[in-house]
Amino acid sequence: MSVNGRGATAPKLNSAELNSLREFWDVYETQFAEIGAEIAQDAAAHPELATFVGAGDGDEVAESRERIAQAINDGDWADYLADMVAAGSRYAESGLSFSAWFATGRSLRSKLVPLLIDALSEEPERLAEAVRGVSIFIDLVILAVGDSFIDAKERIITEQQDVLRGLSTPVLELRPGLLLVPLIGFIDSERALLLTGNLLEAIAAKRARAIVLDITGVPAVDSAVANHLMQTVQATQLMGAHTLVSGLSPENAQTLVRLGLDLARLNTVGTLADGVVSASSILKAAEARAAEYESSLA
Amino acid sequence: MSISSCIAIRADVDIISARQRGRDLGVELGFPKTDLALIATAISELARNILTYAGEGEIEVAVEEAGGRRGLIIIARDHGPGIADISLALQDGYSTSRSLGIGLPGVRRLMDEFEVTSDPGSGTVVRAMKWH
Amino acid sequence: MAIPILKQGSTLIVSLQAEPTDAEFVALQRELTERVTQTRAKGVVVDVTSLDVLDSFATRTLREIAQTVTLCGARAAIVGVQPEVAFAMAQLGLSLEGTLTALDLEDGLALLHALPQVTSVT
Repeated sequence: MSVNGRGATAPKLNSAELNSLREFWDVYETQFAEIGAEIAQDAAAHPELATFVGAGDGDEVAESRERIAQAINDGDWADYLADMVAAGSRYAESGLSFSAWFATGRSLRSKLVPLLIDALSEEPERLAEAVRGVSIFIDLVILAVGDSFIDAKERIITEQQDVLRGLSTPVLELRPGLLLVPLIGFIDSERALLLTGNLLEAIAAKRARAIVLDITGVPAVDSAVANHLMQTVQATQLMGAHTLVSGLSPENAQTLVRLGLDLARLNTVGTLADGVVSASSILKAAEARAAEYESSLA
Repeated sequence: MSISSCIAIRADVDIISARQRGRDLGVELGFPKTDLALIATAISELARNILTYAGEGEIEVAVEEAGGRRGLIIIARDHGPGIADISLALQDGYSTSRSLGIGLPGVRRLMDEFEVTSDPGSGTVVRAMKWH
Repeated sequence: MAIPILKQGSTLIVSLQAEPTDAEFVALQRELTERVTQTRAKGVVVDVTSLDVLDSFATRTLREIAQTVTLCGARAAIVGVQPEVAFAMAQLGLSLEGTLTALDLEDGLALLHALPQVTSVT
């Protein structure tokens, strides 16, 4: 059976497997509601599962049974698998752990086998078929729920990474008009873009004229990173701000120069402290200009 | 459901109409202002390319829905000479003329999805998409 | 429609309100050049605060305006580029390199005021 991203495709079962499933279902169907209630009871005792596994009201139970019958007897798995996919998504989004929901599968198996033994003890061949059917069924369910669970988890992780990325490019206002951006970690094109966007917004919001972009915490500064930074510097210039890049190690600087990069366009200064000093004088000059202009109007 | 607008591009004033329409649609879709600027600028450049290389054409902007997401699609069509070598045209820094326009690579950077179809003699179609 | 050019002291101020068409941009370029010469202005500030888009043509024209104005013995500053406009320009690789820029009109005027007086090239 194959399960892809947003849904599950119907399983391809051979006639023996289908037969096993039917034997199993014949017995299970008669006790469907009761088993469901028992599972719910077990789940209620489990701290994580209590909110997820309920007995369901009469309608829900009937619908569920109908869908499984549809799948096993008529070969129409669409509705049942859709339910399983939805469940997997739900579990992931609510933070249910893999082991917790997996335990419900084990629980089901442990209840079904005695049930089958009871019903088919006189017919060992049918019993064997039915027990195989339990395995097939539970595997199908675990696959459908599991795949959906994993997909949802991956989606959530990506979203969280986006949030983290946003948090990892902080723009700090050292003094009015002076922004400090301490970059930590690897800079790829996506992060550079995010940085540029945030910085430009900050320039407008804080009316910043001098920026120190500190790359001491950036481990790999190759020509790609240097180009990203140059673009950021250039973009801030469009808004009349001066951006200085501090924290470029002498070794990295040498490498970049050897690669033919014009470091002058990066506005490099030495350490972060050097950057702040330079930025402060840029800011002072701008403030002096403004004051001078003001007085000239008087 | 698809709302679409088609703007004929025959003169420089049409560039502004096209990007205004695109921006309006973007506002309806609830795009943040950063994306609105990207969309409007992309339309502007595509419209310029039409005027520069084909003399006239059209820009269509429409809403697209897929997988629960909504997006804005820009389709720039012309019946100009076409692009002989698309892969070359998509290379950064390549430009056949010193005139206006910053080339397709720039527009591609602005959008989420980007596709160029062109045959010398039968014109060019550029499809670009921005997802919300 | 002609774009209004105001005079404050020895500086000309242009505030672009609506999106100018290519023709209007070109006309502005011509108009500004004439006015700088006529009035012997020392500075020109082009305020693009209201513009939602600065595409390749606009960027190029603004740079050319600055260059032409400089040839006429004045200095020009482009002010008021909005953050999302700057962002789009950065992604497109458009730059106003070589042109003076400032955050807004006030800053632009102060910037130009501080420049040493440039003697006209006649």
